[in-house]
Amino acid sequence: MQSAAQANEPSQAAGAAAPVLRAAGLSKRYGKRQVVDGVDLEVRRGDVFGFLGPNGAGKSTTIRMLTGLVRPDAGTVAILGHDLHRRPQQALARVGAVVEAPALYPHLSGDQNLAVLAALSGGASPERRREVLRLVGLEGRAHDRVRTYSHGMKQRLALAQALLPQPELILLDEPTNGLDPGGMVEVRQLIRRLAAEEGITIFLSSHLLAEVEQVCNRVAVIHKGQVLVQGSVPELLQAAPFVTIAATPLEQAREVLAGIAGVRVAATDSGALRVECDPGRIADLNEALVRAGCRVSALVPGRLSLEEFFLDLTGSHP
Amino acid sequence: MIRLIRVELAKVVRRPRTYLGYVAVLLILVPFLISLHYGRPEHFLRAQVGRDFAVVGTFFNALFLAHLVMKVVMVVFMPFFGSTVAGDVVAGEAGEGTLRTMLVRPVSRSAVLLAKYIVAALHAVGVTFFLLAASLGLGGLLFGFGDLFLFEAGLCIVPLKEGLLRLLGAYAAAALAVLSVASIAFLVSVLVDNALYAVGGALAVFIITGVVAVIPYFERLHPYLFITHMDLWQKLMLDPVPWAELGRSAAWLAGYCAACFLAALLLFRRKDILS
Ligand SMILES: Nc1ncnc2c1ncn2[C@@H]1O[C@H](COP(=O)(O)OP(=O)(O)OP(=O)(O)O)[C@@H](O)[C@H]1O
Ligand SMILES: [Mg+2]
Repeated sequence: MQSAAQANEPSQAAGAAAPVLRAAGLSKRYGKRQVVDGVDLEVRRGDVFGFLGPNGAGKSTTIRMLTGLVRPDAGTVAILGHDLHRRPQQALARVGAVVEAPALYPHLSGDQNLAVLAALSGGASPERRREVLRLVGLEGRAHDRVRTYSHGMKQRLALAQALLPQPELILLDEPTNGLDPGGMVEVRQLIRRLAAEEGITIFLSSHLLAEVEQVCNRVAVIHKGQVLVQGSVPELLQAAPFVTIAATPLEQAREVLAGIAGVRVAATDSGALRVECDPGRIADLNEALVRAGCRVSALVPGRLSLEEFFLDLTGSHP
Repeated sequence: MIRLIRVELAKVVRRPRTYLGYVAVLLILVPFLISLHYGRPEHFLRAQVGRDFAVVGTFFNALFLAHLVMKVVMVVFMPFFGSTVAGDVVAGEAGEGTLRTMLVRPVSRSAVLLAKYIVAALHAVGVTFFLLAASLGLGGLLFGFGDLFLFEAGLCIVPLKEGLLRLLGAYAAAALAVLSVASIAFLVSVLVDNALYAVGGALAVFIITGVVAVIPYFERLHPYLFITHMDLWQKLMLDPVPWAELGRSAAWLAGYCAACFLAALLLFRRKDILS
């Protein structure tokens, strides 16, 4: 990989094929706890890459290593073809990031925050600052002190500062954390728009399965510091949709369903059946049950919860 | 680099707590102004020299105030008023988390730290000279200007112009002493997440070295302690001025400042930003 990039000298051209971000064997230990353990990641140009994991999985620690805030005990990071450890300034030149909760200067206004932060990466004209503030919907409050902002507004200002240097890649750590449902929808729409219209590659962490499903095309799942799977979202996350069916008599319903090809009765809990099947066939199941004389009282399509998804992945599901 | 210094300056001047040191300087001047306004030169002389003098007119003036106040506040107060920004520039941003917002940008950590040190130093020097300006200003307003009376070794009367020059030199030397304590606060600032700990850490170092400096057992260490050199500004009030000694002390203090900055740099470049 490296030799290919070197052979193709003007490396900008080679960059188009190379992954935007590649991490290999990233590890970090805090005291005795191995927080991140041999994480490999590959984010390609144009991806909206989800980094999915429960609380404490090591998402933020990984993002800190991807942005040079924390030095890994082992492993390497390359961004746009530049080694982060050896050439941090080149590697981060076209990167915007929000690490953990937004951290901004409370005593400065939104616009002053942008000016101060932009100055660290080559500056940004007042027009550019106004442009990103408009993009995140903060133009009306640009001159108020950040102290007076709500959490959602700070989250959006943090996003604005990440966008300032016209990045090719932005890393966002749980960008919808702490937002109300409306705010979540807005931020997700914004992320999709940035990817689609501005061509920005996006890496975002989340502990919400549904969020990753909605906005991402690729995903890596991290659990206890290790990446369990990595691949395209349709393949990994939408693999096993299910229906919860409540019907009486339950045993009879179970037998009827078990006899249908392509349907698997996974479990019985609290008087209902959990059935794994293509969601397009729910009506067929209902018809079969009714024909067999069962009374169907509920048919609820469901998704694996993150918990169940992890149980599946770690193989401890019954 | 200039851009980074301007950024740091912009953040510091808009932060209200930056001005704490300046307010403290003004407050500390109040008792001096009162005592000089209502006190009588004769009493002061008797206390200082131990003999009665017949005083014609008064030597209570702006220059006298600037010198008197220095003798009291340079020992402990000024080094700390001068250290508040030094303790805050890194630790404060670590505490607020803005350090991570800064450092994910393509900036050199060394350049950021140097810019922060320069701003911290500007504050240390600025507060010291603010004391001079305030005592000359308020003193001039209340008592006017005149010759500078020194009681360091007997009585020495320095003409106004030379008195001002000596004061300027003394405050410059004192600023270096203040900067050396600020540099310790700066070094601690890189290690902690709260400005108070940084200034407190510098205070602890200051007190411990102060204790070591008065214990005869450690006499052989004394020439190497920064605190031994912190009174260098007093040498500018002697006649003749012992330039060689003054230069040596200044060199020691400058060395301490540089050592603190370099140690801070080594730590900061390797530091994991966890806040
Ligand atoms: N500064 C630190 N010192 C010691 N342990 C830490 C530190 N920061 C994080 N950890 C530990 O590292 C593990 C991973 O933390 P991290 O913040 O990376 O998780 P996360 O996936 O971002 O979680 P969340 O969804 O809660 O944000 C946790 O067990 C946490 O306790
Ligand atoms: Mg986190």
